[in-house]
Amino acid sequence: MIIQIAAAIVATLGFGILFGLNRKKLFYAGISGGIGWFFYLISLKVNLSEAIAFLAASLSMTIYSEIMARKLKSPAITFLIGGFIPLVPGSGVYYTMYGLVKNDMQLTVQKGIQTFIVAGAIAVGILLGSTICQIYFSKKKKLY
Amino acid sequence: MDNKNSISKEKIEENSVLFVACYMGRLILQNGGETYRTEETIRRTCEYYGIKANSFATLNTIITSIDSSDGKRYSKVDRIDSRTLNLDKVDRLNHIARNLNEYKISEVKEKIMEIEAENKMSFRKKILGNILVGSAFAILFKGGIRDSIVALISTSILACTDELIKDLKLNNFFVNFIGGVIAAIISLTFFKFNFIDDISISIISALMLLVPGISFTNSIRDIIAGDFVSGISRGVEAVTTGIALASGSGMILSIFL
Repeated sequence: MIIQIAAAIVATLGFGILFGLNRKKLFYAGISGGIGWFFYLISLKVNLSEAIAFLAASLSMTIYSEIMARKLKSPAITFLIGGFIPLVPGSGVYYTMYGLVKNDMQLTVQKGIQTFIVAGAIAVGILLGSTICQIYFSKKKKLY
Repeated sequence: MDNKNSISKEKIEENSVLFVACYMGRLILQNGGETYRTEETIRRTCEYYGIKANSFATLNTIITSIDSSDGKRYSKVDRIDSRTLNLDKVDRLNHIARNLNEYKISEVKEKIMEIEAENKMSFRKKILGNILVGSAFAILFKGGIRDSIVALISTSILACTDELIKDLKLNNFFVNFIGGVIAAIISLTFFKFNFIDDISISIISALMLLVPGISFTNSIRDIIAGDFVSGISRGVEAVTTGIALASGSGMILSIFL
């Protein structure tokens, strides 16, 4: 599990470099990836469903990113996008289309539905997280 | 944001405000900012200079119109052809947009031009990023150290290819197709030499650089948030990229496997 989380952090760092983040933000973005993957694995360990696990991961990460965004005065997506990389269903989209190309309809349908569930769960997590933060921080006028 | 200091009292030409606001919005969108952030930046910038503005942004266009004080209306349409992800630039543009009281409008324009002109990522950084991504994802997909090594090789070759063809301004579909082909060929080679047991882990780890996971998630988020136009266009973008990658690797695998 520790190796998995470390891998998630490294993957996030790699994408952070590709997205042109500077050193300090890179560090915090990496932590964001680690947090997301940690909550995902924990949720699976306590036998929550896949969708709920993704929701928990993206919710925790969004709250972290919003807090860091306010602390470092930079938009939340700086930390969010890198951190999402390990979670987002990129492989799902790929396998869905791969099934189509290979004429393997079972793979297509299975992966396609899974992709929609995962992406939906993550999207709901982001919206929930940012709404919670918006309410919590609404006393401050500057919203980043 | 509301307290107007002496700088904003200078005589401001409304057309140049429109220009600066749209310029800023365009750069934010081109560097991977969200559509709502683009619209908000343009609106806030105009409002700061006391001009009422309305803006609508999709992934390919930004339409802005302002009501000027002499009763006329001016509008500007920006066409966005290509988008990359450079969060650092988005961050700095965002910072300027929220601290307009520190600059004169001509300074703002200069600052934005400076940010636009900055050159892109150095090759060394790109290859470092690619290598980290590829090798880490092989582990995340429950592969072994050997899968990781193969993914590392594929991603560095992908980085080199990207460097070679970036000046040609090729169609995105074609670029992704080639990416799929390269990843499949390299994994297949190592698979044939019995270096790895599972061919798909290293392929997908390398392709994580290109797969549209973020577009797909953002598309659903936009749709839930009520931004249907950009939601649907992002979704279509994600599906097109997926098709390109899958047909590239699928072609190689069906011929040679």
